Amino acid sequence: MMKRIFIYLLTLLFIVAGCSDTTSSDGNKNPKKNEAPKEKVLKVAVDSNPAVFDPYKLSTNSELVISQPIYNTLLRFKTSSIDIEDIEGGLAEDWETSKDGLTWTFKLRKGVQWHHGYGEFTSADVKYSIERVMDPELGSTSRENFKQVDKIETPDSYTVIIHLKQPDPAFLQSICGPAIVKKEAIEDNEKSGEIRPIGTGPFMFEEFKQNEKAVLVKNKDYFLGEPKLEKVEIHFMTDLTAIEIALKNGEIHMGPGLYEPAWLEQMSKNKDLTLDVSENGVFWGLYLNTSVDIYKNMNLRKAIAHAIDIKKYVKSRRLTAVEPKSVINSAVRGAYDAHYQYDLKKAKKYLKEAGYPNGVKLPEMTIPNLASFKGGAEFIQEELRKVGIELPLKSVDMASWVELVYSNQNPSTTVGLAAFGEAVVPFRSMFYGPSSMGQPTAIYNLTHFHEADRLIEQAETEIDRQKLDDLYKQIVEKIHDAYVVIPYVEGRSPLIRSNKVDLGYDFKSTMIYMYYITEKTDLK
Amino acid sequence: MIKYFIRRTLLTIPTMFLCITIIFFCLRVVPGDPALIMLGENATPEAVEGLHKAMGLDKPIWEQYLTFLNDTLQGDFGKSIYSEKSVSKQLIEAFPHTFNLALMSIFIACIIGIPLGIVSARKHNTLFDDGLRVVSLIVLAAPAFLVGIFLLIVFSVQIPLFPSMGVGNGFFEKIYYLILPSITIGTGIAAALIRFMSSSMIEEINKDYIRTVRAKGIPEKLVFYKHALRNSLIPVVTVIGLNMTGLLSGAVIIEMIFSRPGLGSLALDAIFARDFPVVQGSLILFMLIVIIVNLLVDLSYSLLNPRIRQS
Repeated sequence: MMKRIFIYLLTLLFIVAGCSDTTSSDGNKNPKKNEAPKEKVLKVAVDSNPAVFDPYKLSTNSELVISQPIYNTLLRFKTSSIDIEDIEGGLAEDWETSKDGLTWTFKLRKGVQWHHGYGEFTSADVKYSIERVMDPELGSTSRENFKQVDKIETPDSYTVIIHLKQPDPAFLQSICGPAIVKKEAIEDNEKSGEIRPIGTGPFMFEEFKQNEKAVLVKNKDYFLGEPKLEKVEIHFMTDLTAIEIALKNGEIHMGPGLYEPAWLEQMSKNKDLTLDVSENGVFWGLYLNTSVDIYKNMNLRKAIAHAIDIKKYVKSRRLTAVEPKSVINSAVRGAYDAHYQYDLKKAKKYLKEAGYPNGVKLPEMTIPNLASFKGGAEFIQEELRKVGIELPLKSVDMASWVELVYSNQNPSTTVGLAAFGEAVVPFRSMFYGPSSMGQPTAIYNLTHFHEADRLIEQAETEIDRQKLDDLYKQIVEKIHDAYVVIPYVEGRSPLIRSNKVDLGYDFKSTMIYMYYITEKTDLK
Repeated sequence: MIKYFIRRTLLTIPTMFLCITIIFFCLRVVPGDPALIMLGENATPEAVEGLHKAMGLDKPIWEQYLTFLNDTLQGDFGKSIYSEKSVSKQLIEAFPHTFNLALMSIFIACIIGIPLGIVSARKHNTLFDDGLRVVSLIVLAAPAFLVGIFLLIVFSVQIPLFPSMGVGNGFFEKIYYLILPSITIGTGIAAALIRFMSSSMIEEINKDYIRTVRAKGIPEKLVFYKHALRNSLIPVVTVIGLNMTGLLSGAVIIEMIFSRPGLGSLALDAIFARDFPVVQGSLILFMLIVIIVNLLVDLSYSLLNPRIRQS
């Protein structure tokens, strides 16, 4: 009998291997056990699984990390910069705008080749790409940025002229957004159902394995020079402890960091690793929905604003947080100083004036079941309790929370938003009346604030720098005086990399929650 | 035997139909719109409408259900609403990884659990038995994620014997990459098997037919391994079957810790993103696995005990 059981078990072991997918690959043997790889393969860990590969529908950081080295844009921010002054040519060598700001002319690079033999990049590709973003049926996340585009002309293969309906101060940064794609490649992918992104970037897509990794290979013909790395492997590792272990073990070279102070301290002491913190961050605020009766009470909003000790929260987050400077992300051009002073006496006074001398129980606030949301919300809950304001919290999964927010059923919420460039973009989506949640024209106005609508409309078409800055100042003041958003922290994304990685640029900031991978990135 | 098999198989048809219907409607009732998740803070109503159309979510629910039912009966689970990749293809890619992990874990559980369970029964109420009971209870109480992280730190970081991530290439490398995750899961199941095997064996040993065998003067080893073991394996097979189904659908934590692809992570990501076709496909596959494994467990009873076959 025991012999038979042993035979059964041995058969089981062989089935295990027999059922293996022979095409599955990894190559991530423990480097301490194996010799150094012959090829220069950069291994990047991302903490989510990608689902979308169309560059106009990307939303998670893994999707952004995969697409960044594959595609190019017409113009771009210098690597690791988010400063508008640092915009440089990408696929366009040169550009100019008419005095009225309505016509933009782009001169394209010649001889740029599409990956995998899709031919030479031309102006037709630019026209197709921008029109594709604008197509409402595609549902692109960038469509709103191109609402002022009237028509696109391509007088020759290397010139693109974009006509706007109205001047747009944010147009230059908008044009840095959408990846330029090849019509034939998109159509081929649609026909075959295969995942095969085609771009003009330093790395070409090689393979994708669901929940495992994506592999990119170098584009030897890259127009800015042959990449130094042979391959880039992007591993999908949803457990941050696993990322930490793999980093320490040398199985991956770079990955996202944790926001935990103990982790940061431990990593900063590790001699084999470099800890970087992105200069730009996520602006976190408590948004009070003024379409809900209780939050129409200005004195109550004031009481809430003055009851939260932001400094205490920022201190607890150590390296990864700074005090918010304004009512929007400080990386935004137009984020003028505006903050609320922590003052419990004032908070109590306003609470009394609001008609709640003995305290008040606020409507339940629903937040996503994520540590990033929970930490701030629970801190606010404790702070408010000190002045007699009770804020019940409920956490749900992200999808349920999104639906609740979009149907305008959440009386208040905390949310973190990343933004850079011209302030008019976040102002329009977050503080413009028609953008209020629940309305047919809703974008992301969580507070239903509308007192600065006229100013925002003016700013949207103002291309005079001085006048635009004046408008921004007035808008910030109005938002601040309305006490609809209580900023509580600006989070900085921590990233970690092996000392073997030479980024090829000075790291300052990132908008993809990961290091940028360029043709100059190398492994020592 | 064949009649029994056919009858059991036919019974699965209404079960499957009911499950498929429940799966479809449950997903539609759960709050969360995939278009909103995808568009994030840029979700203008126009963009949402555009995406709904592209995803086929603009059609009436009954139309969506009939299409789903028709496609499912033809083995077509549709395409992911995000990646537009065939769901069947995604399931085929993910299944072997989870299946391998489950089989290897069961293998480890069996090679540890069954012999130790027998020894424990033979040395019932001795110091060894008591010690084994304490150890198995500790292992049973330890959550798998904790065991996994502990093994990673010890055998991947401190003593770099095993890789901490990935699935490997080829026969031996795949086995090598499976060792730590399988031990993580397998030890937990082994602890349960030890207890089941031991108590089942003790129960068998005290039965009349064993007393008769002993009275005939049959050596004790033969009494244990030839006569008692076979019958005492019945509850053990049940435990293995139950764990197998649980493993196939619930290995997600281990897949996360060891950064392995698999059905668990595929389904979990799809649930969070409300990727209905992928969730539906995964759940239908889980359902089929549960039905098939239960069927196999039932059939194995009859193999182990002819009396069950006859009845």
